Amino acid sequence: MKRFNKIYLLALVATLFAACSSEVDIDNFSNGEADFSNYVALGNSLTAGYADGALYLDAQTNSYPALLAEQFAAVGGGSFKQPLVSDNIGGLTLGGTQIASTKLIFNGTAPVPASGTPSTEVSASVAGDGPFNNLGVPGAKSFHLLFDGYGSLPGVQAGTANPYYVRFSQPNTSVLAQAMSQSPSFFTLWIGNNDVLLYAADGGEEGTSITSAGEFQTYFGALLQGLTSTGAKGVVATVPDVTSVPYFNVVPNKPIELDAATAAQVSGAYAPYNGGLDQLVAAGILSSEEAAMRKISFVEGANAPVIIDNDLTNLTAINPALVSMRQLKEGELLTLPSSRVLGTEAQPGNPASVIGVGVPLDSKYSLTSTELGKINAAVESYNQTIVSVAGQFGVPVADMNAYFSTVGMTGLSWGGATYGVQFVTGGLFSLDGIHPTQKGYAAVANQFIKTINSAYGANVPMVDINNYPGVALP
Amino acid sequence: MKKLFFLAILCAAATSLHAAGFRVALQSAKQQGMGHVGVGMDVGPASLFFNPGAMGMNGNHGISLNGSAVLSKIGYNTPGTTYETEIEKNTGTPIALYGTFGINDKMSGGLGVYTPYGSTVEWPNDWAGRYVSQSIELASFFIQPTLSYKVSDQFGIGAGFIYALGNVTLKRGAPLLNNDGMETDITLENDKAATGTGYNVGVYYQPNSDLSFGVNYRSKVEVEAEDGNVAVENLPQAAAGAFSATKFGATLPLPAELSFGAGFDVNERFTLAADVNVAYWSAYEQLVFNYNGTLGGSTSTTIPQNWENVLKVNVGGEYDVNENFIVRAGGNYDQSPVPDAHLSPITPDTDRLSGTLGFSYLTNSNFSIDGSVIFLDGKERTVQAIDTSTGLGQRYKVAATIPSLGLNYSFN
Repeated sequence: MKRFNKIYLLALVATLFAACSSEVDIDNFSNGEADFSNYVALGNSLTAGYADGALYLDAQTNSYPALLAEQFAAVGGGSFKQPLVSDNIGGLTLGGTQIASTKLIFNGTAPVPASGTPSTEVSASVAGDGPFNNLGVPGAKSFHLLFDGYGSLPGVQAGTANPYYVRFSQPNTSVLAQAMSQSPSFFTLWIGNNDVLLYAADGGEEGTSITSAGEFQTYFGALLQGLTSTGAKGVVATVPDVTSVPYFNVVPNKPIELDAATAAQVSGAYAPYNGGLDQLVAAGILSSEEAAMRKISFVEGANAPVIIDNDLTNLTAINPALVSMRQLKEGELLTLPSSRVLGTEAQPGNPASVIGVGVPLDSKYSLTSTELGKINAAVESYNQTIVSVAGQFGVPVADMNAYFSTVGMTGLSWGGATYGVQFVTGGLFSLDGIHPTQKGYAAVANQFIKTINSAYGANVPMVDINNYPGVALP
Repeated sequence: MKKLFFLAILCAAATSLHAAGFRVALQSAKQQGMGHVGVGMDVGPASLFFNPGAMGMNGNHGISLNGSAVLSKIGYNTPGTTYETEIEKNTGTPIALYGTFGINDKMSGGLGVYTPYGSTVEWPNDWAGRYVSQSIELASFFIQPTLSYKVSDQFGIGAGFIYALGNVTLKRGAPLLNNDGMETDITLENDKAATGTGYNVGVYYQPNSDLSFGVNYRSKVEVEAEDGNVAVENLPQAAAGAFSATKFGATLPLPAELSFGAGFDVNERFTLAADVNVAYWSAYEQLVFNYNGTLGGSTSTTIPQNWENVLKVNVGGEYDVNENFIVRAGGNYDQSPVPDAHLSPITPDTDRLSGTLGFSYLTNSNFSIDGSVIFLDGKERTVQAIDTSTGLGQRYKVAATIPSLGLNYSFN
């Protein structure tokens, strides 16, 4: 009897031990109707993993397509290869001459280029190490992905080819053709940002054009037609409102602080300009509305800078002193690089030549309401095109525009941290003020995954945003 | 010397989280063998904790020294991801010491030192939830002088005064990266024990020799930490302005408990018992840390808790095999007081079911030895990121094995 008791006791103990497990049952992940065995990513710098004003090894390694591929691996995804650059400081050389600067680092007050010489040489092709799954090319606009000479070395100096693509391009092919030669089973396409961003980043300069709505529709249609022609499934993304990034919001609208005496003095210096405008109104040459908008005065406290606005009526033929200048208006934006020139002296040692006060700020540093109107119209039309063309080809759309606008307003709460779009401190945008940090790219990857999961009945695991770095501080 | 003794006890009191909330239900090796019942019975010196009303019923002098080893495991997964980790291995060794003596026929006195609340949960430093918690070490012990009065052979009452001492160390990361690629870590630690006071009262009723009942109420104790140290590691110089704090203060409520218990002798050898316990965790509304400067840019941190009052049900039995040997078995069900919205890796809490086994060996003198083991199985719990206040999705599975040993000496 006693012996029986002991055996029974032992059995009970063993059963209890087995029940007490700390093993968690994780979710069941699945690929749904999507086949991730051969994933190819097309796009621009965002797809390449460009950050901090450069393409460098760490950020490229954690590009959103690479993060997606890592997640796809849990649900039948195949291998994923990227045309990795040679170093972690970024930048490019062409024939030994540096043609792209190194990544930016934060020195405590401002982003500055990392010291060192880039070791990534454009002419040293890595195409033989391919095929590459990440075909993102920094600087690419929609039509570039269709252009056969975009990766030709001689075209770099002529300005028709892209040095980033030259590194890994197959001979005389386009990005789209190179993608299709790999028979992808799944693709992502995020393109269109540069079609408007390059114009915006240059302050709406004449030399940098916005791709027209009609052209964008043609190119985007051609890209999706090509990508879906062999039955591949995929996902595309909308273009975020380019003016919502820190690049256009770091420098405040009224960055010039003046005391009362200085304000009175500089206002006085503009009296002849303001008076000249009044004379032209009286003469019927200038509308009173334009004169009112152009008149310059400074007050004690915060002031908008004086800018060159080439959309104003050119009066210099009448009087060379009446240059096309005015003060920045409410709602108009200054670019990040404007912070490097605003408040500095155009003629060193001459306090009357302070840029933005005594001397107008060059037009490339500001976005006027006219320029903003063009930019917003372009983004809106591109996004309508993306949604309608994608619908036509049965491809789901990740709405990055809506996502970045939400994050801009409410921040992103993830795993006990709250991130935002603030420059340097927000965590999501890198030091160039335009491209995300690796954390930001992880958030982008999760938006793609959400769209993929709902469109293809899949359950692809999410990326842990906290595993990736934001902005390092000294 | 006295300081050293306190320190030793505080170290011993640190225990891996094993009962709901941060309660430690390990107050007697003997009672642990039968589901930790003990409110409705005269359980010897440990009645000082379970029910001071029963403490004076037998009029004996007694000493009971108890220690447990908490071997706990907690597995973690972020829902929606493949990420998995588990807490660092850590063996907590809470103790419970009781001494009681009969003053006269009616009156008994006693002194207890025990650990009613405590928790050690240490995650890997670089884990997914590091911005909420990297580790917590919470240790408390109550010193409880107690008097019990035997009103009649059927009825006893008792009351104890509680002097509480507590130590806490909290460590978490901040999403700040320095140029060496290191993230900032923040440690809050009170080097001087936080203190508080409370009381423990009970009544005991024994209508006949086979049946007994008890009610016990242990008050809420608020332990207040002052002048705790704030240490920040790997802080980028550029962010120093947002981290000027060097000291913190905080108050932690240790909730009141109300328990009802009953014991029944089925026959001369076999006893059954049950307790129902209500823990008033609703007292834990928020955890506020005040700083003498800024920590992450603000001068205080408020972590909403909004915990809920919960029930715990204990059942158990003991069987006298012979004059020298008693065997026990039991179990309990312990509800988690932590609502989904405020579940956090500081208290990765789930509903728990425990099975227990135990024995006593009684020497022919007045000395006896108790052994027991608790097998605890927590229900897997999943909370999606969107449903939490921190934005951390959490899935936990808790399990623990808790052997314990008790040494008792009693004399008339």
